Amino acid sequence: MLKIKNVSKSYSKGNVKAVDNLNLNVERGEIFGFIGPNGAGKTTTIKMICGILPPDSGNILIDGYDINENPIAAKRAIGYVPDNHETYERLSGIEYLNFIADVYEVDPDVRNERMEKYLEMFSIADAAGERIKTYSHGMKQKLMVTAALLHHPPLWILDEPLTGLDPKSSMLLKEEMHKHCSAGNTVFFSTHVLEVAERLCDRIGIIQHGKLIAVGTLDELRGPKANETLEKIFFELTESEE
Amino acid sequence: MSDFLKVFRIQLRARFSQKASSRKERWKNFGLGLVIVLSLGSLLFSWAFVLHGLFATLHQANMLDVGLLSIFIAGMLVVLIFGVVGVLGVLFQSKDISFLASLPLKQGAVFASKFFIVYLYELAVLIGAVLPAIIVYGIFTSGGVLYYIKATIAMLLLPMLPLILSTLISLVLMRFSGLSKRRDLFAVVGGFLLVIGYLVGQQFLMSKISTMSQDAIIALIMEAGSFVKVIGRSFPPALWAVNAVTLSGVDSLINWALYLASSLAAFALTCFIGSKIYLSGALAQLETAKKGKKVHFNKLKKKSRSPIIAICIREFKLILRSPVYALNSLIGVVLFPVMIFIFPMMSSTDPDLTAIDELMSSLPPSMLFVGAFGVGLVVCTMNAAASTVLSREGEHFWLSKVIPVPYRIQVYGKLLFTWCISAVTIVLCLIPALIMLPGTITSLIPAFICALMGAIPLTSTSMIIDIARPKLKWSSETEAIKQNLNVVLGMFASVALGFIFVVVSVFLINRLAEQLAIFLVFVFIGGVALVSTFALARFADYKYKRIEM
Ligand SMILES: Nc1ncnc2c1ncn2[C@@H]1O[C@H](COP(=O)(O)OP(=O)(O)O)[C@@H](O)[C@H]1O
Ligand SMILES: [Mg+2]
Repeated sequence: MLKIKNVSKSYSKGNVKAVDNLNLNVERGEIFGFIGPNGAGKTTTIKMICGILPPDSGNILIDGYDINENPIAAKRAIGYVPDNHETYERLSGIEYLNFIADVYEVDPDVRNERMEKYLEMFSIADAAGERIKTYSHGMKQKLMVTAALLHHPPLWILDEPLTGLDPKSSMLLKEEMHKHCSAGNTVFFSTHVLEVAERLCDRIGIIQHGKLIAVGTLDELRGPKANETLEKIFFELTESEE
Repeated sequence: MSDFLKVFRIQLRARFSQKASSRKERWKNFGLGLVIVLSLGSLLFSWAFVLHGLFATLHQANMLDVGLLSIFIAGMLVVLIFGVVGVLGVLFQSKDISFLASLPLKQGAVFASKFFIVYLYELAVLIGAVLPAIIVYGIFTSGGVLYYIKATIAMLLLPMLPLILSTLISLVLMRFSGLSKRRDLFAVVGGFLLVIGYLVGQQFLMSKISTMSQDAIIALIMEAGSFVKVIGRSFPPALWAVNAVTLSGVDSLINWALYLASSLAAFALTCFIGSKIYLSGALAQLETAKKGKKVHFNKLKKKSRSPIIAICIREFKLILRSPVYALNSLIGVVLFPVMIFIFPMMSSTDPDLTAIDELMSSLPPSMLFVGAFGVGLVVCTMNAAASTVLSREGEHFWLSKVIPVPYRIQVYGKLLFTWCISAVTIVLCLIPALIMLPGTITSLIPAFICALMGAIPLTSTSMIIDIARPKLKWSSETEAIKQNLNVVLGMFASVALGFIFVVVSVFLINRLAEQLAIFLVFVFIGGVALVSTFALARFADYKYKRIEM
């Protein structure tokens, strides 16, 4: 579903190599957790997958489409929830969702049904008519999740999705991620909360200093030492790299 | 360091510091600076030229002081009007207000530092208007070093009183509008009313002056002179400033004392008021009135929009709902039609316009065509919405990259939006012209059709400039649109293009039969419009994906 091949990226205004020769395959129907310390390169990778940043070298294929060669088909397959929720504060929630549905060309009947479903589920339906400016951090996050799901994307990408959500919303979101996978789609999310990754993911990739240092199922990462927590593995791996 | 200095410095830094990292970038900045200096320089030079002519006449009538006084007053009025826009943006609509409010700083210090940020903006504009006058005056009176020192000090202090007035107006406006639900609308309408009031008032004065007897030029200047003195008396600080500069000895000192004391006292008073009520007003801006309108999903519209239309409508909503954007980018829409409408109304001694109409209709239609075409292009040159089309997206720019809409389609949506603004301006100018001069309809209509088409290359050129060097990092909407060089560059490019269009049409009309020439102008402008749209699309496809954020 998602293929990252030899991708590197340095920011032009900085000498750091934010992502260094990254290779990764994520299969259809998987929940993939992308974990790593702050500044490891998670957001940079995700921005390249979504077409926000051009990679310096390498290819990224989404559902077989190269994000740089065939951007429109690739972008159509993605639903993206960014880590900061900068969005048009002067629009109302419903106006924003309608805009998104228009540009993803979602049928009016379908969009209204989905909007209602997700807004009710996250209990922000009452605020939908109000300007996004009045939303709390969590409400904005839920609106972005709703917007990303309107076109039922085959690949759902979330950057640090659980920060700032209350326990109930966070449970609902995790459930929704499961449901989305069961319906044959793929979920790719980044986090630094290890327990979440441990419980939720089919496979995990650990990134540090822009390099993927381990990837596999939890069992594969544990290796011979069964019963170890992801936290322990994580520290062993990241420390030994230092 | 005092609180004031700390806040002032951090704001200056946030607004002005820019590191040119590479050699190439430094050369680029240098080239850009050169273009700006040259264009601003030529503008200032022509202003100085006009002033020189004016002051020469005044010199003969021995009324040079009146000239300086009127320039000072005009400058102060401009600061007063545009100060309201600046104060609204920097003091009340800036993103850092809640951050600054959370710091252990004195409210008065935050207020004063923000006040001085606006002061710097206004001073920059004012220097452009006033400095040539000071120099021309100095040449005519062969003023010495002392004169220039005095004049410079007076000039640096000139924005103080008008800006204080506009701050007080804004404080009051925010105080009241804070209570109202449609606060943004309130600010936009209030701002436009001020601008219109200013224009009408100015036209009124002009008409008073120009209706006077035509043969006695000196009498006219005397009249105008006494008129300015009347205003000077009703706003004495301007008079004190001029007297302080032009008189000598004790008279000068007295006027200096009056000028400085009034500025200082007003500033102290404003700071006091600001330190009491500023933050509550500013923080109220962060709240948006809840409409409390429940959305009924089954009643939602059953129609979807094409991406181009969806983007165009989104742009309109975002502009109209932000007072700063609306005031800055729609100013032309209000300004030009009002000017065109009130100018003949007031300056004509003959209230019956049929005479003008007959005169105009008796002109060769080709001349009317060129004139109207030129006016139609001129009113499109002030389109800040086009020259900040990408900058305004700021941190939201990621969305444009993520949505599955080709960049070229996205800029078509934006072009439609910016063109609509120009088109509305043109049509609003056409209507009063047609009503007042019905005899000219046969030349006006083709001219305005050509102008509507000419608006396409003008706006798309401004858009290309902004896409080439967008300013995506900003902390307030004011910064995105007012402190954005692209607005100036876009305006110069539009003026240059419009000039070329007019020259080409004059060339064609002089050489060919009228009908044929107008037809060829039509074809030419249409061709340029097509090419520029195509260039815009190609450039967006090239540039969008390379913009990092
Ligand atoms: N816009 C940017 N300009 C320059 N450097 C950046 C930018 N964004 C991120 N970086 C750098 O790239 C590296 C990776 O950052 P990021 O991908 O945001 O990490 P993560 O999301 O894993 O916390 C960091 O060293 C960061 O300093
Ligand atoms: Mg991140």
